Amino acid sequence: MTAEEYRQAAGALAHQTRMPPAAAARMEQRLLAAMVSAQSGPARPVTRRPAGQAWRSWAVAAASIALILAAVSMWQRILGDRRDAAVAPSAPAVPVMQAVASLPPPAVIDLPMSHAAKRMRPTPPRREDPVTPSGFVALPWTAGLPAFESGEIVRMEVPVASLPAYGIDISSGADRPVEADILIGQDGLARAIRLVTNTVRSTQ
Amino acid sequence: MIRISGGDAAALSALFGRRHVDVYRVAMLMTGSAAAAEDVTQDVFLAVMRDAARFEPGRATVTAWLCGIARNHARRRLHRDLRMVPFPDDSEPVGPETVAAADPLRDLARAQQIESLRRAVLTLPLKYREVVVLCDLQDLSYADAATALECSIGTVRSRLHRGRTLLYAKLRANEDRPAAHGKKKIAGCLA
Repeated sequence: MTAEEYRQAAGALAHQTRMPPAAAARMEQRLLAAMVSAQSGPARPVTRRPAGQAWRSWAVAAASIALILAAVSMWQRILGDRRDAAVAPSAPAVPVMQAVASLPPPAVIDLPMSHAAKRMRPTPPRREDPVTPSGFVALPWTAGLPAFESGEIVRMEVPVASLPAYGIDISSGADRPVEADILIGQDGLARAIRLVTNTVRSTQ
Repeated sequence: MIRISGGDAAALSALFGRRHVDVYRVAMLMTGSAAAAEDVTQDVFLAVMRDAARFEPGRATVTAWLCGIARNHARRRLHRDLRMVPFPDDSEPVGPETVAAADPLRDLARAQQIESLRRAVLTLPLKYREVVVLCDLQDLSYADAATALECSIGTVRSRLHRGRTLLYAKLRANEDRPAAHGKKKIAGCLA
């Protein structure tokens, strides 16, 4: 179809597209009836929307979103500060034992009161320790793990029978659980273990 | 408009008599349904009754203003009907019957052209369809179309250009389709 044919076809199409006269007459009657009934009812003033109203509502919406984002980021920053207080600062990879020295004692860790947390809460001091207390001992299987950068210390009860597997000597005949601090790395995997002594408890 | 806003029924009747064809045409060519076009036309004049005082003579012509309202109502109607399954439209088909029969073959070809144009317009994306309808079928100026569509004249020009290009492509494809179909039939007979 050429441009000329298009123009002719468009003109013909526009000419053909008409409302049937009967339908137009019925519609006109309905409209006039509606106008009469509107006049008999209470007059309603025509409200004109101010030019800036749409912009104002958009501005309010944008301001609300900005406030929510600011509040969320502030909240995350506060949480991050708290976490930083409990966790060693992120630093280049250092040996586990050096990093442990910079970690705060486990008492500052604020764990939620869940069942798991209850299991990890410090138990009352005992008079005798069946094992010889020591410093942090790197767990045997941590050699292939990524270098320790930061982490948390979690105190929990450990079966004495499992301590040899961690590389800790136990005295014979001990069959009850002992308390130990477990060093958890940035990836959530345990890196080292330290048995809790009375001295350690008294300093916390 | 002033008289209509004051509740003058004669003024509304006069406006309806002069402009309902334009409003109906825009609605019909945008929706493709006579029933929807009638609904849209009625809604437009109800809106005029309600908001005649909003018409600003210096900003747009009456036709452009009415076409703008029709376009908005047609769009709303199309969006509303998206989830509905249409009944077959029992309105009179627009086509060969309305064309004078001086030269039957030529008139038939012309009627086919018009029908294929109508179908092609209805398959255009909405933003191109409305500008083609307003500028090419309703004969509004670019300025009036820009007022009706609430966009700039440059946007009208670019959309019209793009819309026409799409339309020509669709029309060419429609012209080629029957020929290809005929060839297949012939091949089938010879096999």
